[in-house]
Amino acid sequence: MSNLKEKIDFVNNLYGLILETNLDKSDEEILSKVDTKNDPYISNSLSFIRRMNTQAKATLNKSRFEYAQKMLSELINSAGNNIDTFLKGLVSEPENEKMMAFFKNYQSLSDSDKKAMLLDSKILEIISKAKDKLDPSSNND
Amino acid sequence: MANKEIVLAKLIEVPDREWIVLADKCRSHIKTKIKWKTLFGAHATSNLGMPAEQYYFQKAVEKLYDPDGGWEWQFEKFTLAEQLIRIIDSLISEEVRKSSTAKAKKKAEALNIQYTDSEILLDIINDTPSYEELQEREQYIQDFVKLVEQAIQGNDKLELLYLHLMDGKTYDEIVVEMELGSKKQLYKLVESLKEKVQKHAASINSKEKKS
Repeated sequence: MSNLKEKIDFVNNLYGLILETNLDKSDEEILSKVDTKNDPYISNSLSFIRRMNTQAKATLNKSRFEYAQKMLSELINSAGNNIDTFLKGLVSEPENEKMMAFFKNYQSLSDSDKKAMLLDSKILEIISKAKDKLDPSSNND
Repeated sequence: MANKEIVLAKLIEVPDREWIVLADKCRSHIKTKIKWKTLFGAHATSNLGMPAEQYYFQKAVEKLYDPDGGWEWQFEKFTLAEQLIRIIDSLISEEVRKSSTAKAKKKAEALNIQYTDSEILLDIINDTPSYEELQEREQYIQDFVKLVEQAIQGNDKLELLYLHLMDGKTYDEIVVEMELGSKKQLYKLVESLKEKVQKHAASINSKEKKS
């Protein structure tokens, strides 16, 4: 006949094992058992995660915009009075067509268009390349 | 890109299918954990405002997404499931701590004692359960072990597993002694034990209802 301490240890050990077993279950095993449509816990969890994703996207967009803005102003500051010469130099290179179009139109864009353009990852890449060209030793991070 | 932004970008990419699996794993974990904490600690779930598993899962996800929340997914070290479980365990412990502190404070107020913070902590450590509480827990343990014994009766493997767990053997030792080959086989045995206990408990319940 086991004593109470042994029994408590047994229950404790068993709970520990059950916790490990829960984590070890395969995705297929879980997905075959969970009723995703009629399980309120699952549907509530998914809508909560969607909300978190929307907020996360907004946070990411905001920091990308701030980063692009910072890079652009650094680029303009580094070029200083030579910005025209620098831009003309870039025209001669065919791969810079998009970059030139961007700079040519930038001043005439509305604030919301500027924001949208700066969030374009291609533009971010272009600014980064232009900055490298101007000062190869600079670090864009 | 800062590390927190990398984490956010990674989280956004996690498909719904994977979130369903994660949510279910966390639900099982929270339920098991809470059951045990409620039994041996002062875990209050009534103030959470929603079912405990929902509360802790959402809170953990929130911490993971919050760039300033103090918990960052160390994706090179932990899987998403492991990271969530770590946050959940910490949240549950915090809840237990809060609840225990409140209990100690209440006790101090009732006795009209002015407690300092360290004294409250000391009281929590020394806070032995009342005789009724012990009796209640002892009864639960006795009943549960009896239920397991009845459920696995005649199944040699499960009876052996029961004895090893009773002896306090580590899970690795059990794998070796039972010649299971891998932990995966041990997990299968646990699943089978769980099912047998659940079935047995259900049959007892239905008999009790009939009588």
